[in-house]
Amino acid sequence: MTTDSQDDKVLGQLYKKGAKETPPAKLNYEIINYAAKADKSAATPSQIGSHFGGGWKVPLSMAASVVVVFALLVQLDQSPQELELPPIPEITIPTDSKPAESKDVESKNDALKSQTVLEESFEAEETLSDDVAPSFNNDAKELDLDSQGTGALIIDKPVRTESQTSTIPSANKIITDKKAEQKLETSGDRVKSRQTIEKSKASDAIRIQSNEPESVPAAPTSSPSSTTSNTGEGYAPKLIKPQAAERKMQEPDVENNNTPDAASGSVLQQRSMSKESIYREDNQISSDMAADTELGDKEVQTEEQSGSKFAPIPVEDWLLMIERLVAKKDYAEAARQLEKFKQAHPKVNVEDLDAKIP
Amino acid sequence: MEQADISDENLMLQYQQGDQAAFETLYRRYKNVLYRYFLRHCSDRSQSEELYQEVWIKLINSVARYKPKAKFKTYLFTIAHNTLVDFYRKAKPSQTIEFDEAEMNEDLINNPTSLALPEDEFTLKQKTNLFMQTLEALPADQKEAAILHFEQEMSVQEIADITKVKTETAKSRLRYAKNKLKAAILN
Repeated sequence: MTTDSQDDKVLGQLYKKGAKETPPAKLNYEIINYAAKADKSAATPSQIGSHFGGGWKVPLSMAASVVVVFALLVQLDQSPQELELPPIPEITIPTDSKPAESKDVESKNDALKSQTVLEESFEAEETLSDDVAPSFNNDAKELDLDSQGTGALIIDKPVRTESQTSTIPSANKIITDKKAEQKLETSGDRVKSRQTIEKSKASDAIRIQSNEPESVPAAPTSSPSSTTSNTGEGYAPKLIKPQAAERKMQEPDVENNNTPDAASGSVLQQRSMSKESIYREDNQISSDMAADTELGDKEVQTEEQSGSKFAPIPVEDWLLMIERLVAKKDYAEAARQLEKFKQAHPKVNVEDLDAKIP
Repeated sequence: MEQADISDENLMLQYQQGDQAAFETLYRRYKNVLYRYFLRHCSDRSQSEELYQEVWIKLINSVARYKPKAKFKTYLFTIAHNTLVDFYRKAKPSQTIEFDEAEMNEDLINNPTSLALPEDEFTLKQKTNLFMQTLEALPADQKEAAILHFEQEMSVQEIADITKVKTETAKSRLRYAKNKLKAAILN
């Protein structure tokens, strides 16, 4: 072993003595220079990470944006109804607001609906007896009709509600007035717009008196009913049932007299005014059906507001009203009504009534 | 601490972090050894220089992936060995130098006598030339083992790791190379 180690040592010395070649300086320079250049661009693990980190951020952000946009598009395609939801309120708002505005531009269906209301109310009115209960049943029916959404009934409802307590004592009077009204039907003063009224049973049931200008005076502007009729409430009050109109007319009397009997004196006048309103309703309906335009409705409204075509009080009704005022010993009102009657009908002989009034 | 005292592995790590001076230190340590490694295997100097340069470029380019799992010396000569193998595969068989063992004395090869360095300078120079000629005439695997052993004083195990052979194979190759060199000198 010693020999081998010595031989290795000798061989090593010989090798080192013989092997003294060195690479050329140019080659050394090129390699070191390459190492220096490569060092600047050399990618260490950490540098590789940083370079990679700087390189993949932009593509990754762009890819993420593309994915988000694509996901949104897919979601929108899958749920198009959600996008269409916002316009729905915009569409429904005008439709909801139409009845509330109670425009005269309502279609024929509304007119027919009002006719149905009138028909029902008159049918119920015909079944009236001395019992007061049916009138309340009619009120209940009207309340049900209110729930159908007609703007007119909704507007009229508070009036009816207020008048319920006040009109209960005078219900019998109203029934009596209706009997008297039926008597007046034979007087020959028929409705001039019979053609329009015949379109509905309600118009036949009403049997509205004629509004001939030569036989009927213009409605007194100072009467309580005239103030009510000149309010120009629009289309809604025209859909009021006759009973509702009557009770609406009775309100001023109740407020003035505060007694059930006091209201009975002006019942005929109120009845006549209610007929005026009914006439206006039918006139309105006929005008709607004839013209079916907003312009026609506006013209009617203008005529109503000017008071030029108020339904006149029938002569016999007027005289009956004055007689009742005399019977009530309300001579002041009777004299006033008589004076107005004379002015409206100068040819009619009212000496008997004039004599009764002191 | 001066860079001369730093181990090869640490210098390589420093160069990995961008320290150019660390690379230069490493280069100075191994430039001659590596250059002679190729010079002994290739008869053509320019070709050996090309291979030498190729090894360093490979090292520089692979510095980012370097991990000090083994000695840097082993790592460097593994690259050199692979480069040389690739060169041998591309080269023509005629270019390989076949060692003519027939001309060698079998007894001398198998039972070499002890060697002693010549006392005079002339005799030493003659033996050195003979040694180098014999070394270059050795088979490639034996020559490689002898070069790695005499140049870097590598153990059999390290030679086996670099040449990717078993330890016994490397040991046999080295033993054969030594015996031939002894026989040539004693002859």
